[in-house]
Amino acid sequence: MTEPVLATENLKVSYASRRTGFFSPAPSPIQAVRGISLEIKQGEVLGLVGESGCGKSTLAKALLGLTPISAGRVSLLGEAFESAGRAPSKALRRKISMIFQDPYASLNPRLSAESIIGEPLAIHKIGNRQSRKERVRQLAEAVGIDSGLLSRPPHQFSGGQRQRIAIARALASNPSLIIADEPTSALDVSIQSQILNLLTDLRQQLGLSLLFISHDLGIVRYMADRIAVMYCGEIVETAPTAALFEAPAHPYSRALIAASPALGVARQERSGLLAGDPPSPLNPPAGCAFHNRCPWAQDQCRESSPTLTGGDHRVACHRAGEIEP
Amino acid sequence: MSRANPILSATDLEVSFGDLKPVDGVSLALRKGETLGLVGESGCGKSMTALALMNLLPNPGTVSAGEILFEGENIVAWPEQQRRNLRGNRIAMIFQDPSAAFNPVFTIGDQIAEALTAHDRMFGHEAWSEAIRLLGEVGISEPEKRAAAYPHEFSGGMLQRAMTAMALACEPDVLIADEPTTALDVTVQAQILELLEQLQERHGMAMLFISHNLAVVSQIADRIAVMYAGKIVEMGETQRVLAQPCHPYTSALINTVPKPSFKGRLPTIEGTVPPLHAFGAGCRFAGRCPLADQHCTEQEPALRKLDNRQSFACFKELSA
Repeated sequence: MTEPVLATENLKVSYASRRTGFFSPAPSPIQAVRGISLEIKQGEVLGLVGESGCGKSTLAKALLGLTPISAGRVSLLGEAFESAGRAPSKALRRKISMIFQDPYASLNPRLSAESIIGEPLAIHKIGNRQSRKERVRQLAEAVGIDSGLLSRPPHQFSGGQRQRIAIARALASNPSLIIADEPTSALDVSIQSQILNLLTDLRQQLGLSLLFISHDLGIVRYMADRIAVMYCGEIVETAPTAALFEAPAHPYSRALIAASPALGVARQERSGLLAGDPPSPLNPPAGCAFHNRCPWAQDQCRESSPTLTGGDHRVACHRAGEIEP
Repeated sequence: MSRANPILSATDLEVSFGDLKPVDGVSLALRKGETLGLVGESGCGKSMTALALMNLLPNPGTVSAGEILFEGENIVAWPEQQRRNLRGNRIAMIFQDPSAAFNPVFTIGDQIAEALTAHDRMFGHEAWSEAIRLLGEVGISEPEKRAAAYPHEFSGGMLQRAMTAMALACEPDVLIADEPTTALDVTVQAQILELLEQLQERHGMAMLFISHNLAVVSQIADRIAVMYAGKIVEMGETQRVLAQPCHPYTSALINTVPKPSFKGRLPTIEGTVPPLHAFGAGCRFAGRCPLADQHCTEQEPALRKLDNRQSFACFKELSA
């Protein structure tokens, strides 16, 4: 049980960027994920937060083997899963699955709910036709879809029901880790809590480990045991959920917490506001990627990039100890 | 203008698309210097209400009943030409997706200047310099250079600022903001909310702030109106409504948002919003309401006053 479900070591993902003109030199690749080492323990929910473009979804895709990684390695259940230049092992591939953001786009409109949920079983050749049918029925029940409706195509289901179908599909191959990329942001608030409750129940029943990606800090705080904050392709802080919210150590985590609206809590005063926009991964700033938006930046921050240090609460900031909470 | 006189108001506003009524009897009032937040789930009619106020309803939508009063005059019956003089001039709007709201082949400065020339306020160089001044006012650095840039050269947050500048060009009396921060990141969202608040202080306009996100609305609105299935179910002072919701839907909406350090099971609202063509005779929330009885399914509750600060549309007394 001590073996982490998933561990990455210095994971990097880069995309080739387009030439700006016919005669212009080939541009350097875009580094979307710039050296990430993280661990997800058995039965743990790791929340991943950050602004759009910070590389959250690229990281998720790389972990699934949907995007080739350019450096580093990923291990799953203690076994090597993928590394730069080596495709993920198919036998391990069924141990990890994903729930996507938009259930209107992630379900094939031409398949029945039954075929959608059963597809991972067919792909990984799990069981025979009869046992698959039975398994699909069980999965549908587990996520709260009436098994009598399984012959229907996705468009006959509501948004919340579609996300339930997507969750059933993610559970089909009996994975050890599920990556949920903004699973509720396409849903209305009244449906959102139903899906969050379902994920919590499934987690308790099946001992699932989850990588829960969201830009909504309120939801991540509710769901996650531990949180990793990402900025411009790097993890800048990771800590147990309560510790992160009580004492965020990185200036970016602080700004993020200060900026997220909470019900009935007055908005932070102007001083807490972060100026500027998130940097473009095309041209990440030298030194600490956050230095040009950071109120505490000094020369050192512009020159060298800080590394993630610490025990349970890790932070990548030159001035982490000096900044008053 | 005194507090009692709203600058823009709607009374029993009804929007019809054939037999369907996405907005059914909405009354609201916007006063100078005040922000009204309009909250509800997708499809509840909040955007249609805004578009009706602007006279921008998509075909074949029409305002089939009710009045829209602007400075005391009913503008529903006005011909399009006259409405156009108001739109963008006295009543302006900011849309959700800033990258879809700009024309990609004209510069930002041109498009802001166009708002001024279209309403015969300024022309040529004068309009261009005013566009630059406005870009500066909404917090865009190097406005002279940025005015000559095209929309694709701006980030999402900058485009939302530029759209705000365009909406403010003619110094409108009313600003309608339809989900102005939904497409933005939280840190940029905080910047835009701050900007809107500052601009409102400076110009004293009335603002209708539409969002599905109760937390965002609670940060900027003085008063809040909660919409469900084409009707306003509760309206009142923001802090009051949040602290002491009277309608079961408002209360459920507040409860479903995870609170800090809460770890138990989240309360849910069972079922889904009834489709437009299947509203029954009674309360539209009755099918999902834990308090509903037979009376609720037979008769429709009207908006009633709790006191001068809050009103709600429910037969039941929701104990706090």
